[in-house]
Amino acid sequence: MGRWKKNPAQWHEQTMVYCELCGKIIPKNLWIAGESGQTLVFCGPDCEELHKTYWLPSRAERA
Amino acid sequence: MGSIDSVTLSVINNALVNICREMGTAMMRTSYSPIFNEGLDFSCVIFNRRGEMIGQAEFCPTMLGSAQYAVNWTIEELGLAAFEPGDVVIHNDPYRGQCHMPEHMVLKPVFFGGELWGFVANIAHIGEIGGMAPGSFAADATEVYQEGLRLPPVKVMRRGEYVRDVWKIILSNHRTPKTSWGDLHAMIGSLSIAETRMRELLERYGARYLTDAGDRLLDYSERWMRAEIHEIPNGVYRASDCMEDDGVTDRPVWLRLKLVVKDEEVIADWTESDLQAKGPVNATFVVTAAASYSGLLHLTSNEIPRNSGCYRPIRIVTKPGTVVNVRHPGPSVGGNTETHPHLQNVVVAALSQAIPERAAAAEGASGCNFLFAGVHPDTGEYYTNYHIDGSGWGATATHDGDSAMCPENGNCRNTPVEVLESKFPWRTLEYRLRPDSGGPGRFRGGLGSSRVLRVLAPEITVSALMDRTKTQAWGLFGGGKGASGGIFVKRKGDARFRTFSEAFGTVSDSKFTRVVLREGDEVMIWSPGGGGYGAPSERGQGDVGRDVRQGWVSRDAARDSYGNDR
Repeated sequence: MGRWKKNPAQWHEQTMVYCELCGKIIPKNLWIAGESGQTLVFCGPDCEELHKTYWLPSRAERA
Repeated sequence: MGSIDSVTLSVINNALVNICREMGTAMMRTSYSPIFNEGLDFSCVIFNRRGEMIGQAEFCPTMLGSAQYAVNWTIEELGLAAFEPGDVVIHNDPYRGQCHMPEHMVLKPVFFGGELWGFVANIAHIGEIGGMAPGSFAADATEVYQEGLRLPPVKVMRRGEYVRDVWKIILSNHRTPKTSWGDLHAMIGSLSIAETRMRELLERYGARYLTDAGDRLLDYSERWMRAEIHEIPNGVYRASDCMEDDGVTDRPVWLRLKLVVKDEEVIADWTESDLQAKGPVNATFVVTAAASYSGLLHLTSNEIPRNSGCYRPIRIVTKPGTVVNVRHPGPSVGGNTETHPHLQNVVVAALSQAIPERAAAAEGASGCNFLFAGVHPDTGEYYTNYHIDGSGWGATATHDGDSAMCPENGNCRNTPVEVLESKFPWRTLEYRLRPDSGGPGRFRGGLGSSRVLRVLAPEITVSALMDRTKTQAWGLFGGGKGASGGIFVKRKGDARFRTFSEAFGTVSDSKFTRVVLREGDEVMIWSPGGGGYGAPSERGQGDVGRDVRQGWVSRDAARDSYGNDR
C-alpha cells in the first residue's frame, strides 16, 4: 500500500517528477509505492493499481 | 448528498453550459486579434473547488480536455489558501499541465459567503508571445525556450488590482503587446461575467446544493460514459499514424496506440510511439490525454454532459521522452495543433475495428498554421498574425466529410477574406475548394481548400507549421485517401509555384520559420482533404453527378474512381 508525500523540491527548483504509469508530471503530491523492493512514484493510487493490473502483466507478455 | 430531482439537475447543467457560452461571446466581442474574434480559438470552463470540471460548452476539444490538468496543476502548486476574491492567475507552461505555449489559461476563484466555492477559467490562443519566430509558432524550434515566454501559474490580478510587475514582464516579451493587452483583457473580462453568473446561481440554489448538483453531474456523466464503453466489444485494438517530419529532421515520427477496451473502461496505451522529435511536433502528456478523450467523445453519445466525469473511465499510459509525452526542454508548439488531431484520428481508427458504424475516416488533420509579421505600410505599425485554414474531414458511415473545416480538435472558424485583407497587407487572389481532394467512397471525404495570397507590403516575414503534405488522410472500409496538402511560393516574376524547400532551402516543405517575402510574391496554401468511407462503387450516381456539377469532383475522377462517365 502506498502513501502520499509532498514533493520536497523548493519553490525555486524546477524539478520534474513523472508518474511511473501514465507519465504525467506530478505537481506536488506524490503517491509513493513499493514494488519488489523498488520505490515507485505515481500520481495516485489509481495509477499504482493500473500499473499492477495492466502495465506489469502486459510488459511480461511482451517479454 | 441531499435529494436533487433530475429536472433541476438538467436546469443546473444547462445554466453551467450557458455561462460558458456567454463567456465565449464576451471574448469574441471584446478581443483584438482575428484568431480570437474570427477564429474563436478559445474555450471556457467552470470547476469545483476540488479541481473537477463541471461545466463547458462547444469550444476547442484540445483545450477542453487539457483544462482540467492546467487547473489542477494551478490549484496544487499554489494551494487553495493562496486564492483571494478578485485574483486572476495566468498559466501557459507546457511543463506544468498546459497543452502548448500559445494557449494561455486565466483562472479566477469564485467566492460565496466568504468561502471559496470553485473556479471559472478560460484557455485561449494568444497570437504572439515572443520566441524565435513572429507569431510564436517556431516550426524549427529545438527547445521550449525558443517558443516564447513561459509562464508558470502566477497572479496577474491580486484582489482586483493589476500585478504590474508580471504584466510588464509579459508585455515586454510579446512582439505585439497592444494586441496581447486587448486579448488578455477580453479573457479576464469573460471571467468577471462568469463570476457574476456563478454568484447568481449560488444565490438561487445555495453553495451546498450547487456543489452537490455538480457532484451528481460528474457521476452521471461517468455512468453514461461507462455504459457507452460497455457497448464496445472488449478487445485490444491497434492503430498508428505518423507526423511526416518534425521541421528539423526530414523523417517521419510515429504515433502508435494500443487501445484496450475492458468492460466499462478504456486504456489508451501510447508507449510504443517513437522517441520525442527534435522539432516541435511533440505532444505534452496533456495533449495526448485530451486527444484520447476527444476520440472517445466522438464515438459515444453527444448527449453526455461534458465534464470531468466523462474522462474517469479513460486511462492514459505514456512514456516520458516520447513524441506523445515530451520531456523538458523539448519543443511542443505543433503538438497541440498538428499531432493532437493525428492522435485523435488514431483513436478513432483503432475503434473503427470494433464499432465501424460510428467511426469516421481520417481528416486532413492539419491546422495549416501560417504566421506572418511585418510593418503595415498603411499604418507604420508592426503586426503579427496567426492564420489557420480548414481541411477536409473524414467521411462517416452516413455522411460525406465536411469540407474546409478546422480540424476537429480545434473546432475553430476560418477567417473571412475581408477581415484578412482589411487588417493585413495581403490580397487574396483565390480561396476555393480543391476538386478531387476528398477521398472517394460510398461517402466522400471532405475537400481541402486552396488559398492564394499576394504580398502588398515591401516585405512580410512568414512561417508555417503544417502536416499531411506528404502523407494522406486514410479512408475506411474501401474508401480512398484524401489528397495531401501543401504550401508553395511564387516569387515575383516566377512562372510557377515551388515548395519553400526549393525556393528558400528550408529543411521541411511544410514547417519553416522566418522566410522573408517581398512585394508581389505569392503564397499558395493547399489544405489536405479527408478520407472516404466505403467503396466508391457503392456511391449513388446521383451524388457523383452532383459532385461533378458543383466542381467538387472532376469528370476524370468521376470516371476513374466512381465509374461515372456521363
